[in-house]
Amino acid sequence: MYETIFIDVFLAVMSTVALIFTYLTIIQKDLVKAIIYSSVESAAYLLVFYLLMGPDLALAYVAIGIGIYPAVAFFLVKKTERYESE
Amino acid sequence: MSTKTAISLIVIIGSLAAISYAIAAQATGIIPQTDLRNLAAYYLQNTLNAGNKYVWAASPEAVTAIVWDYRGFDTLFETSVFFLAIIACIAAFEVEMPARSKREDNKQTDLGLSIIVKVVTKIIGLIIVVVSASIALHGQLTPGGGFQGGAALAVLPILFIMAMSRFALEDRKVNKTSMLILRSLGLLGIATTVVLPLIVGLLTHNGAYIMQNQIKPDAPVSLPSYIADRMMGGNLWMLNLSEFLAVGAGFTLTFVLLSLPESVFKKILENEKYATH
Amino acid sequence: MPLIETFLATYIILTTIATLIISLYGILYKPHLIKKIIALTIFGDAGNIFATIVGFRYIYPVVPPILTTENPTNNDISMFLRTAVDPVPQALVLTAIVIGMAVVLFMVFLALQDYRIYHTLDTRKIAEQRKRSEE
Repeated sequence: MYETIFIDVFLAVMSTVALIFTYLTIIQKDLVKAIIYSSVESAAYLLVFYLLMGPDLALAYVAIGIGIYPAVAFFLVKKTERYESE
Repeated sequence: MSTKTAISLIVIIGSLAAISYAIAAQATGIIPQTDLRNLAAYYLQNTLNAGNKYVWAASPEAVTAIVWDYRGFDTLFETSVFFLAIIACIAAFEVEMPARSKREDNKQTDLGLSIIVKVVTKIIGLIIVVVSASIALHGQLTPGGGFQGGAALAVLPILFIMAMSRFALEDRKVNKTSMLILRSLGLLGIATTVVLPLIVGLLTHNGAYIMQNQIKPDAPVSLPSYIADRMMGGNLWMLNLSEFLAVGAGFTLTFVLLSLPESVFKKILENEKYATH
Repeated sequence: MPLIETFLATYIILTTIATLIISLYGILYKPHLIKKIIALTIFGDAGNIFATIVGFRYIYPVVPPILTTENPTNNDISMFLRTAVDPVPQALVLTAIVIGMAVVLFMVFLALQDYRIYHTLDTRKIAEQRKRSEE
């Protein structure tokens, strides 16, 4: 009986972590830190995908959310500007 | 904030809050459910059921069977959407690749990070290629498949550009043309696998459908579900392999285009007229 | 104790919808183009989580939709049907991830081209420059 509650508590903790990091991403003015916060949020959502019994999605999301999106965004920040003004 | 901003913010948040209240109060069916829906029960029952060979998909993994066999046309059009995005990226950055400036070859070791990082990156690069090919090729038996393998392979050019310079890719003949050739080969593989049952059916005077995997009631053409005593899932492994090539080459192409220096584009833009200058 | 389970399920759905709302605010009300792109990736991600929650089954023991034996008997299949999760939303989410990725890739290229022409990535300043050039 306690196993379901353990899985649910873990799911709830990961969703809350993702919510906090989403808020920090939108507030942040330094774009490098915003990209790193968004990749932490991707890692939290990766654990949620795994606990919701979807291993294909977890595999896809490791490579994309932590590898490709931050890399492309870092290329863009390097070529343009780093700080959001005002 | 002005009045217009406040009103639009209230409208957006109010509508989303109403939707959330409706869903949390179980308006669209109790979420999460405890019973299986009828469509899911049908797919899960028939994906490896040797008793009913007219509707089986010959693979123990239901998600890959749905993506490439039961709903194969969705995946076909999604591959074409990805292809259109890559073509648009190439068209936006239409530039002839700059010739490598004349430098002595012994200056090559000055670029990039230190030598420890370079050697470790080369070892890890080999591991990445093997692991991503493994993920892509056993997609019909365990979680994995074409997209996952292709996305895992796409980490390799990023590492090489970061640890060594972008000339490490250019020296190994990884440029726009060769990646376009690889990508076209992958898409050609998908097209061939889709049309193959039709050609076999026409040649042997049987009925056949496009993108058909196993026998259907009026189309007795089927791709082999066991090859040398290994479960291969019909056309699932061919489609996974082609998709792996196409996605990996597409991403590498994007990173090769993104790593071009800005001076190349400044020269092009100075010769053209735009409305703001 | 169904009360705790109902509370936790509702809590998970509400946090996902809250992430949707915050990322939507980030897309609409932040004027920098890169911030909009980052918020768009978070928005798509939260939507995919929501679709996977619709396909989840609230029982124990729960199993991913993958058979583990090579020649399953009828007993195996009926046991599988009693414990497995819905595979259809997972297949649709896989397609959605790839399409989202293609769109974000193209938008990054367009943002780069914008910077080369206008020398800024703030949408208010771009609007000013265009208005000034049309006079």
